[in-house]
Amino acid sequence: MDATIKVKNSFKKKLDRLSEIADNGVKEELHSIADTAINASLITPSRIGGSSFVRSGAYITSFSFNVGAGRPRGYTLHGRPQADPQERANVGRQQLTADIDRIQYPSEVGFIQLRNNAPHARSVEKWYHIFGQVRNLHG
Amino acid sequence: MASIYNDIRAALETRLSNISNFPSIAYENVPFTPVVGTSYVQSKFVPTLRRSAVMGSPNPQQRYQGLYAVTPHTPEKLGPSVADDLSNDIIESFEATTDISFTNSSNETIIVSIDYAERQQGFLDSPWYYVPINIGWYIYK
Repeated sequence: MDATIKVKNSFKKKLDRLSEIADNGVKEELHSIADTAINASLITPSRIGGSSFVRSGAYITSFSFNVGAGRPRGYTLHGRPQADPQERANVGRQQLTADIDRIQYPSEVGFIQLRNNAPHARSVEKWYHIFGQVRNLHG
Repeated sequence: MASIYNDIRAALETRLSNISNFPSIAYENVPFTPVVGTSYVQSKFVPTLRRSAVMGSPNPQQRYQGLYAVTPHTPEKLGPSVADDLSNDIIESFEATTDISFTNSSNETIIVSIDYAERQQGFLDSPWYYVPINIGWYIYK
């Protein structure tokens, strides 16, 4: 015994549209998370003085969105000269935007992880609570 | 009023300082020299958001929220139990859904609500072993 169900084209189009809405919703949230991470890094004052703790830009350009595969970004600050924090923030933001664009069907991915693989990321977190702020605002 | 931040900080710091059998607290921008071999707790107030709680009102109630980052430091090479015990005391004092009231010098009382209190794994940062604890708070005013 079997049953054949024919899916109408109009119904399939509606399902595709719902998937697209869900994907766009997830991408919007990912952009918002990226903004929080980059902005919090840029505007958190340094504990040794200065309006931003960003110096070489190694930390702020080491964020990445990962879906399981792929090596997360991570730059060391050693040997890097002082950089323009705003310019480094723009680079960090562009990289995260590129990561988001690479995720094809974000609403169907089990988890998407924001990472910072800079070797000094743990020290930054201890003093400036960047991931703590991201979790506080995005849950 | 933006000055509510002073009261929120005071409410949270008072709560922390009232935990019994607690080590010294290193408050923000207060000179503090840790003594090697003696535990201490670092406290940091991190506001994250101030937004209108309603739409359309000319003088809307605001939702304030943020983090209270508390980091117990214990001497290295003594195992994790002291830091774990301190973390437990802190988390229990700031358990989710706890309301913390504080009355300022103008006799105005505020109530800060705790959204969550969560700890992370312990880290070694010689000569200390530390456990980061993030406490999420909010208040409507």
